[in-house]
Amino acid sequence: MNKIVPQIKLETYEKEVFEIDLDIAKKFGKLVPVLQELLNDDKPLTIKTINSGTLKKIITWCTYHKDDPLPPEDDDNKMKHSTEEVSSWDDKFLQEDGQAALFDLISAAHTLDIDGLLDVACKVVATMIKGKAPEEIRKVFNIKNDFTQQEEDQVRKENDWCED
Amino acid sequence: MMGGQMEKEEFPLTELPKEVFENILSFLPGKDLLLVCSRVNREWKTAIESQSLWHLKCQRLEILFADLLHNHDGPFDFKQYYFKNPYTRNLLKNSKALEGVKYWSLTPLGDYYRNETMFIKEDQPHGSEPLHKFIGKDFGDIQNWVTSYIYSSREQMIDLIAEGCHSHILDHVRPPIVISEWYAARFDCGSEFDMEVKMFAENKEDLLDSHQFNCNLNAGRQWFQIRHVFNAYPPGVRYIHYRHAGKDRKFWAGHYGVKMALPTVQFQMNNL
Repeated sequence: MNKIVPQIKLETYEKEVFEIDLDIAKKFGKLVPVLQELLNDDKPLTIKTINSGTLKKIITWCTYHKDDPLPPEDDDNKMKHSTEEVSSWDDKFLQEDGQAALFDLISAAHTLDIDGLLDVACKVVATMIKGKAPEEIRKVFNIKNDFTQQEEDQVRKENDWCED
Repeated sequence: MMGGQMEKEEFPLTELPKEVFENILSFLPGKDLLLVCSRVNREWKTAIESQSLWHLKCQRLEILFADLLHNHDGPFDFKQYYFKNPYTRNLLKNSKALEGVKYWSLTPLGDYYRNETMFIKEDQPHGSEPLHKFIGKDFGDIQNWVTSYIYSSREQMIDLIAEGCHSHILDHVRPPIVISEWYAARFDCGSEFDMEVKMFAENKEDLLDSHQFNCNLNAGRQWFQIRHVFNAYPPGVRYIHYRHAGKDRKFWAGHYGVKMALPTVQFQMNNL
């Protein structure tokens, strides 16, 4: 192991300890205020809500995007940034392990506050919804329909105005 | 939160924190959300009714600006604002002539002028250059109108409040309003072109500001653009009346008169 690169230690749900390069850890918004502490501490920080598979995934994603330009500070440009298309690498990477893994990844990106990953993962889920009928959406995400046909028609009618 | 406790292959979307589920939804088109997604189940319907989702959608569309929210009385309806979006679009209906003369009524000038066929949509600008050479391709499909040998005038009234504008913006912020239109003659026949824009108060009678443009065009294939900015109109504007008109200069049977395209009335929001 190369000892020159500063690293921090995180322990997952399975009690597995990961050593993470400081450059990568800086992308975890939640950890930024405590990074110095973690560097000095030999004891790992335990994050019980994140499993090892998910953390591996996050590290891979952050490593791949290590040299991306930082999102601009002001809100307007940040918004522009977040409506860009999903790259094919991201799309494949985020979908290859199935829905449950993607769900865990989104939860973890939210917990650790990794803006870029959260947005891109949310966009991937949005593309899974887009263009589908309500019944298809229910099927894809295993959602129970608690509307009667009548109620569903009523919701449709209430929102007709947006078609103009 | 979930963690990796179980191996279930499902995606309990609504178990995500509210802001994360909203973030996902915010990447879908507004109409899809209302017409399709809100029918999935009650939880989805509730999420789609949330103003914070539409706030986010407005942010993504980049249509929010400081004055809009600061001086607004009562809760701001982001959903309605998202769909109305009055400050960054052309407020004239059927501005690309794709629906013929729909929304453009003949100006009542007297019996002699009451002739629908003197001002019609043209399938393409015969005798002039193609429009996109001048306008560019940003506007997508676009057609033009053409006039004939009797002076013909069509008009449209914009009801600013119905289009989604806010009285505090119209009265206190008063953002510049840009009006513009493209016009052309034919290579073989000159023509006349008029356009007139009037701003009215709530009673539709008090004239608060106006702009007129008249021009005599020589024969030629080129398109020209008239553009004017209302910069200092007084408070109280609620209606904008747009009128454009013309005819040929040779009294030829057929449609050899002035051609018109893409009339525009649009706010200029620099601070968006």
